[in-house]
Amino acid sequence: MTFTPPLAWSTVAVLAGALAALTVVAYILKMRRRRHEVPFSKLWQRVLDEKDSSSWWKRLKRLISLAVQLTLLTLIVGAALDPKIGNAEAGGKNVVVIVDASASMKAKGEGEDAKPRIELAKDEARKVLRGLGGADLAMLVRMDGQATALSRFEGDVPQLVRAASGIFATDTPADLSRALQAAADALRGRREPLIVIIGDGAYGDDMRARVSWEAGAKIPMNTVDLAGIDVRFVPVGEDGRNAGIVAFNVRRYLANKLSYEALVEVENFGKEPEPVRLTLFAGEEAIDVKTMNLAPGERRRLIYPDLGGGDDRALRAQLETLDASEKPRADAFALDDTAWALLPERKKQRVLLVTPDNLYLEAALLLDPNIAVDKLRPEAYATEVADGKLGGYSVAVFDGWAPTALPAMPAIYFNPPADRSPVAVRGQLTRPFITEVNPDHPLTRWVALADVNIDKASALAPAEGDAVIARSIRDPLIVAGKREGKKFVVYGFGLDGTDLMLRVAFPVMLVNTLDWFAGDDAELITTYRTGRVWNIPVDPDEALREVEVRGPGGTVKAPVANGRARLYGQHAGVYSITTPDGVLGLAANLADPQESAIAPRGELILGGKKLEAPPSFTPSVSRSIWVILVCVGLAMLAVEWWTYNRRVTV
Amino acid sequence: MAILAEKAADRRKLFDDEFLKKLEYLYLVSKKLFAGHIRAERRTRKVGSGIEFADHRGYTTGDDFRYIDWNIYGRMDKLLLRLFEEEEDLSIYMLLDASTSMRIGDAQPKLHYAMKLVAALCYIGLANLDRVSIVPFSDGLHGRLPPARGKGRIFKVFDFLTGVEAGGVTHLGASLTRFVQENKRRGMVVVVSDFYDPEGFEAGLNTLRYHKFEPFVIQLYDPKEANPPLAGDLTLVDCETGEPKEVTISAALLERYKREHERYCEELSTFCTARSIPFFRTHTGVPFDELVLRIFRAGGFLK
Repeated sequence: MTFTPPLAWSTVAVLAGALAALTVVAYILKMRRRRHEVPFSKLWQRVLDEKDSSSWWKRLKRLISLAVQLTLLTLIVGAALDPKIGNAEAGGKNVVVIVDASASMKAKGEGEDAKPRIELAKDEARKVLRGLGGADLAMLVRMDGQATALSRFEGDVPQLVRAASGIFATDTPADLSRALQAAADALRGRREPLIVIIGDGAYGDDMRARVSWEAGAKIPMNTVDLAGIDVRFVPVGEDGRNAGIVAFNVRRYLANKLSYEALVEVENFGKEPEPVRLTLFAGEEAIDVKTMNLAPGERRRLIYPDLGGGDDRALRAQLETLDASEKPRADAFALDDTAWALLPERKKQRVLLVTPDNLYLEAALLLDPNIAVDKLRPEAYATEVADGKLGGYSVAVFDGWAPTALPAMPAIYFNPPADRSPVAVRGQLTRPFITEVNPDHPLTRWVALADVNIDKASALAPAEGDAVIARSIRDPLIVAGKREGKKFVVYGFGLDGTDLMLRVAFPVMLVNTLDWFAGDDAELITTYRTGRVWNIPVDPDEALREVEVRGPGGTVKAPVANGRARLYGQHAGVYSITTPDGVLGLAANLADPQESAIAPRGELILGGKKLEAPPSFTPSVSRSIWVILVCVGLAMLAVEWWTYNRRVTV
Repeated sequence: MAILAEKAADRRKLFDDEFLKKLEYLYLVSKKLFAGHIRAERRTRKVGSGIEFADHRGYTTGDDFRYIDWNIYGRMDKLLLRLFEEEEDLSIYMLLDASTSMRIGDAQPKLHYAMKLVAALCYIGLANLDRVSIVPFSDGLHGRLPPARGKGRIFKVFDFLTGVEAGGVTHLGASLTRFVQENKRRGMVVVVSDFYDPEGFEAGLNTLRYHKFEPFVIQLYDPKEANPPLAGDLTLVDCETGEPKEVTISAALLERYKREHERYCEELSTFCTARSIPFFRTHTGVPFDELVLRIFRAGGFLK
């Protein structure tokens, strides 16, 4: 019989001794009884004399009761030690079974009845677990983009088999290094460590190389130390033809946001030429269909320029492999045959230009086809506001003038009067130079302001929360921020005393400003890869703490830190994120050629060492008997309860 | 079962007008039951110089030969002496158990019940112009109400009973020995007690008999004494001796106790019956007037 104590033997012994002593003391101590006055104790004495005639039985009952309590204690302590009977040899193995549940494990072999690889891997895992020896302990780990322990080290084979049966493949690439590292950490300090990898062996060369077998060797970072650990490999899966999409993205043109271009990369991972048909959908509407022949191993990049039309922002690329009659046929790996992308939202802005007359400013605004400009003289502004005619404008531009009240839309101010400026003016500067530009602000993207000449300017005094876009030494010249929930940009100088409007930077900065007002971000990423943690910008104010993400795997809550939601991408597809400002969309694709290369490896070489098949475990009948001990204890308790209530033992 | 604190104020309520009306009713009933008897004509069983023949006994030297029954001598040639019942006023002694155990009782303490019973019997005795006296006892005698006669003395009875102090261990033997030593005038001795005497009741009652008193036994108990609602592990403490006993009450033990209580009461009953001592047993759940009527109907108290 072997034991697996949850604590050190000495601790168990001390605990058991203390509990036994407490039990005995409880029996030795005189029970404090409730007092009750009777009129004539002689009658009770007569009854008790009759009963006490069997006082030896009374004493014996007390001893039996103590013995029962001590037996119960022994049973409980015994059960806690998890005793096992049978041929449980002392030198059992500690096994970590890593089951590959990456995207490539969704691949199926040829034929209708072919099982996905993940099912084959689960069969193999169950086989390995059922073959464990009596003293062997095993831990089950699921490997995809993460390494997830599905059990602790235990010898309960049915429990392990149940855990193995619950494994499912995800849409993420396999992270072998992470799984090996987790297994090595779990096995550290355990006797006869063994790792069994069950998968298709399609892991990146760099991951397979980042393994060290040498004991005591200096190990570089990102290298898994497997010294002293026996690592075995069980290959699953059969070869299959696969052509897939390995990249798909889309972006709007900066100058014309009504149009966009898409990029698709397809690759043939098989050993034979593959005729394929690539269809591009905008929503449910096919906007392009291409048929092509992909040579073995050929990767082809396709760019679709000047796409437009359709209101649906979701694009889908569908790749079909064709047979000789150009009819679609089943692909071994369906996951990479579909890819999604989302277009950044398209917005056309109406701009109200309030100026006495400024041809340069008007021309710069007219350069952008995404905006419509209406001009208004400053003296007519108050009337228009009073008539409620300015409700449809999304941006106001004030040139050398500013209204007394803040407008109900974002606004750009050029040299506003000091008493009406949203940013306080703290002084006047003569011939200032722009010495410092905020490079991180969206307004300054692709803009150089270093040699702009300015005749005279107001030194601005930004309020807390305002961002200084440009300054002359210490004096802010351009400030951006928010007032009453509306964004603004204030230029401390007028356009009639500078050569800024003659530069390329001017219209670009205007476009940047209008994009910033509209919430557009040309660098916004809307397409992500699975198997990674996504940092999705959701809240520029950084006040949000959590968002709801609805995706192919269901609805989850994602935490938000520093204005970005963090989410581990487990499934490919289209996601929507609900924020207080609206709903954001993003698309996720496998986009991993390594995973799409589904050809299984019959052998796995890690750090230059070829992995062998798992050893046969020493079969033995070993059975945990703690359940029996607990049942016996419960039965004893039940008997004692019954006899007590029947007043047999009192 | 709770031992109630004895307070004189509580006892005052025992003898209110309602109680007095009940006594009067009982007296009328007693008169109806024994119509024709004249007052103060109840006789003791003392054999002496009366006129009503009682018995014969052998002549011994020194006897008054005027009482020799010559007719018997003529027929049987034996000298037998004729005995006559001595006529004198009946003395009724009410011996009231005032030990600690008499304070027991949930609805009412046994002592209160006994007091009402004693008061009722006293009233009947007083009304019949008997010489009625009350002697409380426990391990000894605790004072006495001097013999009195006439209904008008009933208030003295009430006052006396109200002032009786309860306490002490029941000791019938010692108490009744003391009683016969102090009372030379023979008469009826009504012993109202629970008879929970660790030394036994036999010695005390025999003492009365040996001294030519006429014992009249009334045993009182509380219903919960006969059927105690107990369970579990308890320390039973004798309310008189303070002696503790640790017991675990089971249904079987309770059953044995009930049997034992019944057996004890039967022992007392058998003892009295065997010796022609009138015996009545009741519990405090029975109305006292009902008990008094039962005593009347059974005879023995009313002559």
